[in-house]
Amino acid sequence: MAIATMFVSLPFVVREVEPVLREIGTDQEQAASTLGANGWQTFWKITLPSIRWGVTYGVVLATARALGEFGAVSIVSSNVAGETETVPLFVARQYDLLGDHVAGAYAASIVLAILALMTLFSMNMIRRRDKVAETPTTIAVVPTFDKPTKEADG
Amino acid sequence: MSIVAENVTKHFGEFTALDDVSITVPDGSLTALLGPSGSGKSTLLRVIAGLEHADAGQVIVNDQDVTNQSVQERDIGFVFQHYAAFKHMTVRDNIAFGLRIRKTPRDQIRDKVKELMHLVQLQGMAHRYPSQLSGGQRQRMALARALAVEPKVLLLDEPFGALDARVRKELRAWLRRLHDEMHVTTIFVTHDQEEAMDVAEQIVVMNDGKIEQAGDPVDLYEQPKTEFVMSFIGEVNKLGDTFVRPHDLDVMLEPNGSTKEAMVERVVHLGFEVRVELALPDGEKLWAQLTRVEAESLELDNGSIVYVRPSRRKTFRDGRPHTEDIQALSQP
Repeated sequence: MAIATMFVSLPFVVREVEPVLREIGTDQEQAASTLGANGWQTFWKITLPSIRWGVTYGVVLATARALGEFGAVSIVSSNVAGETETVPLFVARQYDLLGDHVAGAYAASIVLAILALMTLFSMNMIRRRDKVAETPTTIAVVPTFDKPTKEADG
Repeated sequence: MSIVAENVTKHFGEFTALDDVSITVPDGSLTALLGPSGSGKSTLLRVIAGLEHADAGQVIVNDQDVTNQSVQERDIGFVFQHYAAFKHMTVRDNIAFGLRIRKTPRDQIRDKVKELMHLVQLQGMAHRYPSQLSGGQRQRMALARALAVEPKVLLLDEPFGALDARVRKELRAWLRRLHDEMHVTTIFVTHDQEEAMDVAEQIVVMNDGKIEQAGDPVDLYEQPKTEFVMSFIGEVNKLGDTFVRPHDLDVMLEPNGSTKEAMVERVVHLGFEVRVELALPDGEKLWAQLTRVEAESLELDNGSIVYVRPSRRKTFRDGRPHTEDIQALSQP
């Protein structure tokens, strides 16, 4: 179940991160290495912060996909009730049982819908922050240029 | 710290980027690696830095063989053509990066960053991000970042290549002054011969993965050893196998025993300098560099016939340079 979900959702992370990595190139990483940073330090301090919005966005997309995935999980995980079952599978199974179970199906659907809305919401927020981060002129402008005494305080 | 590269060879697949190259950079000097693109100059710099590993040969810094050391161990300062600024960090964090990696105490970092920001004239920009700086400011920040760790040697890869002409000239003069103050052994790569002559004490001219000639700027200009150096450093007219500098071409209105007839095709006024483009009767083109006063006294016009004669010319027969000075002839 987990493997099937990863298989269909992880490509979203890759698809988001890859173009960002391509765009930033290796210059900054090389600069870090000339300044003495080893591979891990370069990754944590330079590479990861540069791609952080790509990664976050990819994770959100992957989450959305994982929440709603039906086909791949249903076929690969053999769909054992309560064990290898995701929420969409649960909804389908309950609905098929009819009677009181329909209420359960609706309840689970509502939970799913709320999760989906939250994902959508956080995705929009990240998008907005991402845009701001790309043009930091709109924020983070500390007008120190006319107050040279406030410079370089550590 | 002197830098020596010995018999360095580097291939990229089939392409030979460096072919048995040896250079010596004396302690405290400012040396330019000059050559057209693809000549191997950047590769040589990156081999010295440890960003590339040579297929053969040694790199020796301060009498110590560093060939097998990693880039982190070599204690170099490297400045990239496109700045390689850490975009997600402020100017201050960029400059402090190397010191933080070295776990320098905070108060020392603060003092050092302050001192460097003053040195590179970025006072008051500590909290800006690279995207809020101009190209010249970014490159100065990159230089401060490289200098923060007090490197043994400073390596600059076409540092002014991405800047506009005016900023480039300013930074050139500034780098020169900085070097006079700091005396860090510096190598910088450029394809601009004027920049190399302006800034460097020693120039190493490279072509096709080999070193053509190394020497001080005057030496290279006056005593080029190869045709390549002759034509790459300074302007040149090529007549058959003879090379004549445009300022070594006398232009006269009357013929004289040794002159050749030529027709003026175009006169270009460049302020103090005037370029006179000429065509010989056999169709060969050449140009003469005159001062404005000289040009005015000749009253040159498009289509007028003049008589030219080189006052000094060079040939490179059998691969050996030969200079011929033609003494001032009797005035007609």
